[in-house]
Amino acid sequence: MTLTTPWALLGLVALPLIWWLQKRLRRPPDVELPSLMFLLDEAEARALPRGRLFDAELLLALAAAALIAVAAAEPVLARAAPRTIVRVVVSGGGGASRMEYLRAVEATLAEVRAASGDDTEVDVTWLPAHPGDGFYLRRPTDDALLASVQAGAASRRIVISDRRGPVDTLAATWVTLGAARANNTGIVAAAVHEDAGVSELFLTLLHQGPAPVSGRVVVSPRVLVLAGGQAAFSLAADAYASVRIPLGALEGADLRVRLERTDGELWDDDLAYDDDIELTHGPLGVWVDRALPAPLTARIRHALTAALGQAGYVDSDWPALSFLATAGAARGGPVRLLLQPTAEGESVRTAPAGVDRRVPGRLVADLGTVGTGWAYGPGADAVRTGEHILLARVAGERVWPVLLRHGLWVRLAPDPMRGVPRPVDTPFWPMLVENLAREAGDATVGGGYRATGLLDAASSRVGTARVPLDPARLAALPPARPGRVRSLRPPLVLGALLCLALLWSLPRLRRRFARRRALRANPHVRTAPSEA
Amino acid sequence: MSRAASSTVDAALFPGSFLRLLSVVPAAVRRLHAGVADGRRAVRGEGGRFFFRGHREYRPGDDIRRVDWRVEARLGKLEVRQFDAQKDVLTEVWLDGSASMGPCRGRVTSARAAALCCATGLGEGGRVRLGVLRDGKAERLLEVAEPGQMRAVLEALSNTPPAARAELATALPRLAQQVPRGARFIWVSDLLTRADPGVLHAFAGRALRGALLHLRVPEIHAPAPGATMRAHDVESGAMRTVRLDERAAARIAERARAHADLWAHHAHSVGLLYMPFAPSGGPEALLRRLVLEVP
Repeated sequence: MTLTTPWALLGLVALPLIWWLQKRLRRPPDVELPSLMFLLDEAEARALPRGRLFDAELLLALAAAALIAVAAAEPVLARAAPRTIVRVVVSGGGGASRMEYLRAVEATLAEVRAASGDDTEVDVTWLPAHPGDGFYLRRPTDDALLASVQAGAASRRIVISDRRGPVDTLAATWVTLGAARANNTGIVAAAVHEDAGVSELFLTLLHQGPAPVSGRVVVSPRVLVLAGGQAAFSLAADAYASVRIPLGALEGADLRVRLERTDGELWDDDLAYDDDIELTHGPLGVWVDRALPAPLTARIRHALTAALGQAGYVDSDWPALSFLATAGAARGGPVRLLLQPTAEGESVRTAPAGVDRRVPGRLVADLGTVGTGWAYGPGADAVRTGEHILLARVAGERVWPVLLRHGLWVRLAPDPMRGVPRPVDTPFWPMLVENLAREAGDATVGGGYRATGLLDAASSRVGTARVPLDPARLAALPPARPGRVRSLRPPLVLGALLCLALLWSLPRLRRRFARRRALRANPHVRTAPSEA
Repeated sequence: MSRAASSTVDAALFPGSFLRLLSVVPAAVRRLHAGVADGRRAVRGEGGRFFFRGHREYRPGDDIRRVDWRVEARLGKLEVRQFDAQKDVLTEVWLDGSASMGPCRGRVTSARAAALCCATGLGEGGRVRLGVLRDGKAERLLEVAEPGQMRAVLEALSNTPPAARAELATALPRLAQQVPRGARFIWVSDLLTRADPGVLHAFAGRALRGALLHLRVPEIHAPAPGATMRAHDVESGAMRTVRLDERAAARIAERARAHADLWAHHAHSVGLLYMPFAPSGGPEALLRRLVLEVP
């Protein structure tokens, strides 16, 4: 807070003057009476009350004078100085070579701070990689990075990522910190083909690195009596390769597939997770509440079979009113689907035709509301606390939620067994079940196997390009927001006026109340104003 | 002349509204006293036997016994003697002229009260004497006999501001000697004196009638109830600082009431009507009481 005209504070000198005047004026008034005959028996009173240096009137007068003096000095409050803001959004990066990328990010951030002036605020936001998908992290999308960097006021917007940004991006300066020496080889696709007791494993390998590599793929069945297999591979720089490994009768055994160096040592690169995958033949546990109508149970079984082959089974012993899909117990928790079937004959409300509203994600991939009848039981169309809508039908102003999520729970709001056509009779149903299974963490491969450890290349590899920051782009930046200065004079003047109003009204109110009391005590007592 | 006379009448004391009230007093008095028994009230005019008024030329029909034969013998023309009514009613109006009558609108109220007393006396057909008690003396201001002389009364009252002390213990016995027997005696005073009310007994046995008009200022003038004030005595100049709260006001009012009761008792004992009046009462109410109640 600063004072525009500090000399006006000399007005505070009036405060002791007011105090002195008030003390002088507080002497009791002289009243001329016809005679003191009847007053002589009264005790002589003190001219001034003892110990009353201040009272309400004096304090109000002092406050008003002080406020006026300070208001004359015009104090201003600088609520926000003009700031130059550089907004930096850092991508969490891909799964491989994270340490090198993170070190480069720190160096770039230091460079940004050094290039910015002392009065420049560097606002750094880390957009972490997508969590919850196993041991590695999925990088944030470019759209998410752009959306984050465009939020708020900024003089310059910078995105730091390990990959190049969109070509047409003008909203931000894209700094690419790819790992030039990134080196990762992994299994990106797998398929098992079984036919008449003979099995074959088809793999797709991807190598990212500056130099060619070679090694071998080793397949180990979990059942010791079965024979495994292996095959050599050789990959050029930044190249794909397909590997075919013939196997014997698998008899439903789980398979472990890993990459090894030619000398038998473990494959060593920037990301180990995609070097070792598992192909599981075990069923995908799906529990269906036994209270569900039998047709629905059958539909679920059918949908699971269609989505996962013969890998799923249904257990109706689960007591909860839920459809529980679990997989990969070591990786994340299960996903629970809550269905809300209505009783036979119970009234339902049907959603009219409309357009879809969806939140992109794996759970609603390829799902739509068109072509399916949606019938809601009582209260089923209400969004509960904590739920967010994944898929809905919007008809006019009304939103009819179809699929909602709250933590691990996924709720299908309409009755899957009602509507024309019923959801279980449309492609919506098997697609939903498959999405649930994929959300649980597994990917289906051929032959009834589910794979663990397959990573898509886009999310697991780091970029190799480098587009460093140009410090010149941080010079002479305009302020992101102008400074706001607020004058405190209006509230001070208002306070002074309020004090003066109270000062004016307080004695009148006091006299009025005292006069009423005196008249109640003795009707003969009157005061001069009424007589005049 | 009228312009010169009006200049001596204090317009603050006697505003136009009060003068209009005064102008209707004689007619109002006559109307109120119509039918009252003869001899009770003053009657001015011919027909009396004792109070010689003057001569006039004989007119047919006059009582032959009223012819003044000595005038006929000396001047050679018939003149009849005129006499006033059988009783000459005299109203003595005495005003307390001490300084204590001034504050708290005391002077205005007392002067108007004295003027009303004079007006009623004149309205009843009698003479009026106006005087002031001050410094232990009874000073007669004027005597009037006609309603048209009320202006002189107002001028006298205007030129007699309250001053000094009354010294009633000395003044009242002197006044008692001046008041004729059987006169109508009206005394306007605030009675703010240490004198013994027994001094009123100087008027006993004189067949007086009338009233003691007690100018009572019950209002305790304070800047604000519950506040402290420095009270000045206008007569003595003494000063006293008093905190006037509710209890103190009640005590003061009680003392004033006891003092008034004592004077009222003695006034009654000498045949005077005790009539308190206050500045807040208004002249109309006082006039009504003067006409109806004061004997």
